[in-house]
Amino acid sequence: MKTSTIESGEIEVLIGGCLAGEQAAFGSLYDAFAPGVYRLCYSLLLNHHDAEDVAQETFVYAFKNLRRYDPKLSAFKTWLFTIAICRCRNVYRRSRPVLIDLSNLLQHTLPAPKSETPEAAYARSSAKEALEKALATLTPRLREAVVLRYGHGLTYREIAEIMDCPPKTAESRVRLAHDALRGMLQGNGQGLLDELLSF
Amino acid sequence: MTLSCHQCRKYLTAYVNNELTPRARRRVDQHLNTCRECSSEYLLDRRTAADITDTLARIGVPSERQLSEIWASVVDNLTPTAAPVITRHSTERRLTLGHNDLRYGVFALILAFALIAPTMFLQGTVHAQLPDPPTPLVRASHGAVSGSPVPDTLLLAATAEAPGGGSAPAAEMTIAFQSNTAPTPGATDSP
Repeated sequence: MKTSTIESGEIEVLIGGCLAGEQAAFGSLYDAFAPGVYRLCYSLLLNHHDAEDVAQETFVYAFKNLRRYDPKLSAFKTWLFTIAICRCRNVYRRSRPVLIDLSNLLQHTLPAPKSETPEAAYARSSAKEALEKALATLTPRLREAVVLRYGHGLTYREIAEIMDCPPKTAESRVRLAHDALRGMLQGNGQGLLDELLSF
Repeated sequence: MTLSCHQCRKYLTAYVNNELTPRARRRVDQHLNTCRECSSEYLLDRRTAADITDTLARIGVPSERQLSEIWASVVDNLTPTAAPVITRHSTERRLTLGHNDLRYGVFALILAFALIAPTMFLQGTVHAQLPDPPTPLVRASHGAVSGSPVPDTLLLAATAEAPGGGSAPAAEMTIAFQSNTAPTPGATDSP
């Protein structure tokens, strides 16, 4: 499965292919959006098993209801994220509180850059762990807002569309989450990493 | 009009995220150029945003194996000839429970309708079983009691006109009430 970014024109062609029953079109759409959907699910649920299940449910629902998607109303990514977030909400409504899957966290560390010192690697891992812990303390709505904004680069308008709230509400949620994370991440973020790398 | 520090800090996150209108952005710019405290807050916010963005990009990155497994499950669920959904994780069990819940809900609705329907359609019968109101009787002064099944108003009119072609004064009249039919259990007006 290769991760790729595709233009909106290509997406519409692929959707047309899916509706015509082309198997390859389904695979291409999945390749393009699955990593993002999975990352979104994991950032919200902080558990790999639940994230896999929700990502799978999201694509099954999306492919079965592809005829309902209207490109004039929203981008395909926004539509997929809306489906994924609805399912994430179902999961964390049933299984509160959100627990950090530390075993998975330790197994899925990214390879360190060649020039990275052990201290810098530790700082990178520490920043990631600290952010996961901090995300777990946020309320679901604030976590969704901050993950959509900083994890996926969506605008406030797109966040509002996905979260089904006014843009001003999306803005204040991002601000509150940002302020909360700033307070919790003092000394654990990239700043510390930069300092260590500068030695 | 210049911003206060409080207003400026409220806008800082949107400023960092480039989500302000050009006019609001200019106002924040002006304030940041003159206020050192807000300026250092802005730098902290900018660094926080960069930290979160960098770190979130590394959280939950799926492996090829995970993506392949998810794809296999998606294909299983979409194939028309597929066997009943094989449970991989707990969420699918929850999904099955959800369908059952829906079925129970529909069944409960049908049951509720079946219970309510008789009272809705048989309301006329319930009213017919109520006893009739008492009918007034006209009693002449000499004590004769005339019971009549005619309605009260008709009876009163008749007794006022009848005696002696209207010349004789009407005797002292009293109205007594008596039930015109004894209520029998289960009796109805319908034949």
